[in-house]
Amino acid sequence: MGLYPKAIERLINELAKLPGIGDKTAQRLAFHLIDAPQTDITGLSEALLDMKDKVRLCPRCFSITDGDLCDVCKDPKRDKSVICVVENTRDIFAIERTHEYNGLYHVLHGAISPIEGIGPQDIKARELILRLGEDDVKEVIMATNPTPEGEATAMYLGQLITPMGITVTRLAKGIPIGADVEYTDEITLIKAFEGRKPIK
Amino acid sequence: MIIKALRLNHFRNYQEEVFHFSDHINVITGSNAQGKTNLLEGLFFLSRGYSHRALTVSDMASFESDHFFIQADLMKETVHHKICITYQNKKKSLTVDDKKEKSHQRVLKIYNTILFEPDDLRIVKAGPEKRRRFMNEEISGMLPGYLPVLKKYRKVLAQRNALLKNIRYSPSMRPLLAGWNEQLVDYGVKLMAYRLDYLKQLNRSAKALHDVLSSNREQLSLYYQDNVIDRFVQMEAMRDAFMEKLQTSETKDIERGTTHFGPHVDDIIVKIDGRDARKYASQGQQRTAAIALKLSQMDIYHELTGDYPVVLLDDILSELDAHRQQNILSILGRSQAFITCTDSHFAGYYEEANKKIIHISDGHQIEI
Repeated sequence: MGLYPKAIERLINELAKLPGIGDKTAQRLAFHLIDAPQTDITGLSEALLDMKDKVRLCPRCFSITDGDLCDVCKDPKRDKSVICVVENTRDIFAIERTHEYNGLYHVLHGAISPIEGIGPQDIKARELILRLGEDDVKEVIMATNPTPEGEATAMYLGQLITPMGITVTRLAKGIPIGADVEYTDEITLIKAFEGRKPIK
Repeated sequence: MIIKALRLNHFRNYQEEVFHFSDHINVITGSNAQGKTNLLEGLFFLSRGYSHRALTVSDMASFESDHFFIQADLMKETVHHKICITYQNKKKSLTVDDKKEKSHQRVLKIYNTILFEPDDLRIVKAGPEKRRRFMNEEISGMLPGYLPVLKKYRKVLAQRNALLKNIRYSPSMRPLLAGWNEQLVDYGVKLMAYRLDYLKQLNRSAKALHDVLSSNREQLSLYYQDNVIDRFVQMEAMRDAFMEKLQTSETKDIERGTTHFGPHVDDIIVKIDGRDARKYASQGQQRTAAIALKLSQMDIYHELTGDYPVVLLDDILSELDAHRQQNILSILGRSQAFITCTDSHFAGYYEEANKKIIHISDGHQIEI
C-alpha cells in the first residue's frame, strides 16, 4: 500500500468493494477513470448520486422504484389476484424478461437461514401476510431459490398462507431446457422424476 | 485401472519427483518421516479431490511454498489418461486429459482408490462415528450421486440444529421447523436408501472375504442400525417413519438443541457368529472383520464397474501378525497396490516381475 497518490488509493479501495471486482480490476478501472474526460466523470458521479437519491423500495412489493410505486404495482393491466414471491429484486427482472407472467410480485430480500440468524422477522414476510389480508389474492407463487434456505422459506410461508384460503404453488424443479439428461446432477434428476408430467 | 506414473511438484516434502510404478505391487519403503505416506496421499488426493489427512489444501504444499502440482498418468482398460491438480493463488484446479473439470465426477469414472490406514483397523471397535465415516467415504467413492445428497443433508441438518437452539430462547419460532423437517426427511431417506443398497453388497462381499480370512471358522454379518429393510417396498414407509420420529422427538430436540434421529446417527452393526462384534469379539477378531470390511470394497467396486480400484495400504502390514499378512498379500494380487512399510521383507511373497520396490529418503527416490 501507499504505492499510489492518496486520492487514487481511495478510489481503488472504493471500487474493490464492488461485487466481482478484485484488486487488479479495481486498479485497472481507476486508471481508466484517470484518463477519462471530465464529462464522463461528472456523468458517472451524478448517475450514482441521482440513483441513491431517487431509488427506493416500493412500499407494496418491496421491489425497487424511482417513483411512489414500482412499475408493476402501478400497471392497471396486471392481474392483482396473483403474487409471485422472490428472494431478490433481480429475480423479478429475470421473470419479467419471459413476458409470461402478468401478476404482481413480492420481494422478501433474503431467505430464512437459522445459521446466519436470519428469521422471518428479518425478511419481508410479515409485509406479505398483511398484503394478502388487504387485497383479493387467489394464488401465491413461491419462486424462492431451490436451495435449502429457499425451500424452508417457501414451506414456512406456505403454512401461513394456505389457511387463509389462498392457493400456494411452488415453481417446478428439473432439467434445464437444452441440457443433457446424461450430464444432469443426481439431485436435479431425482426432482425432475418427482415432478414428471403426463404427455397430453 | 493402473497408475503408470506420478509427478509430485512442491507437494509435501517432495520438490520435483517423478515415479514410475509396477502394474501390480509397489512397495514403498524407507525410514519414518521420509515421505512414504505423502506419496499415498498424492494418489488418494488425485482420486477424490480431498486429502484423508490434510485439513486444508494449502497444508499439502511443501514447506515455504504456496503452490503445488501433481499429476498421475494412468491406463483405464486400453486408454491412457492424465489427471492433474494444480494449487495456485489459493485455488485448486483439476484437469483430466488437459481439460478443466469443475467437479471430481469425471475422475471417479476413470480412477478410484481404496485407502487402508492403521486407524481403519478400529472400524469395528470404535464408536459409530467411525463406521458412518467409513460408509460415507466408500459410497461416495463408488457412487458419484451420494456426496451431493450427503452435503445437502448436512446443510439442512446444520440449519435445523441452529433453529432448535433459537427456539429455546424464542418459542414462537417453532412453526419454522416444518420447512426443515420436510427437507431433512427428503434427503435423509435418499441417504438411507443408498446406504441400505450398499450394505447389501457389503454384506455379501465382506462375508465372502471374511470366510477366507478366518479360514471359514467364523461367520460375519452386517446390519444397518438393527435390521435391513428392503428399499423398494419400504421407501414410503421410511419417509413416514422418519417424519414421525422427528415429530415425537421435537420437544427433546429443542431441549438439547440437536436432532436425535436421522442417518447422521445411524450405525452398522457388525456381528460375528451372530454376536455383536463391538462388544463380544476379541481384538484379533475385530481386526479381521475390519480388514474384511475395508478390502471387500475392491470386490464391490469390481461388481459395480468391472474394474478393480487402486489399493493403498499405509503402514498396515506392520500392525498385523504373519498369518493375517499372508492373507492380505494373497488378496492384493488382483489389483494394483501401493504398500508403505519400514521393512520390505514381506515383498518376497511376490515374484520379481510383479513388484517394484521404491526406497524413499527425505523426499527422493534412491537407488539401492
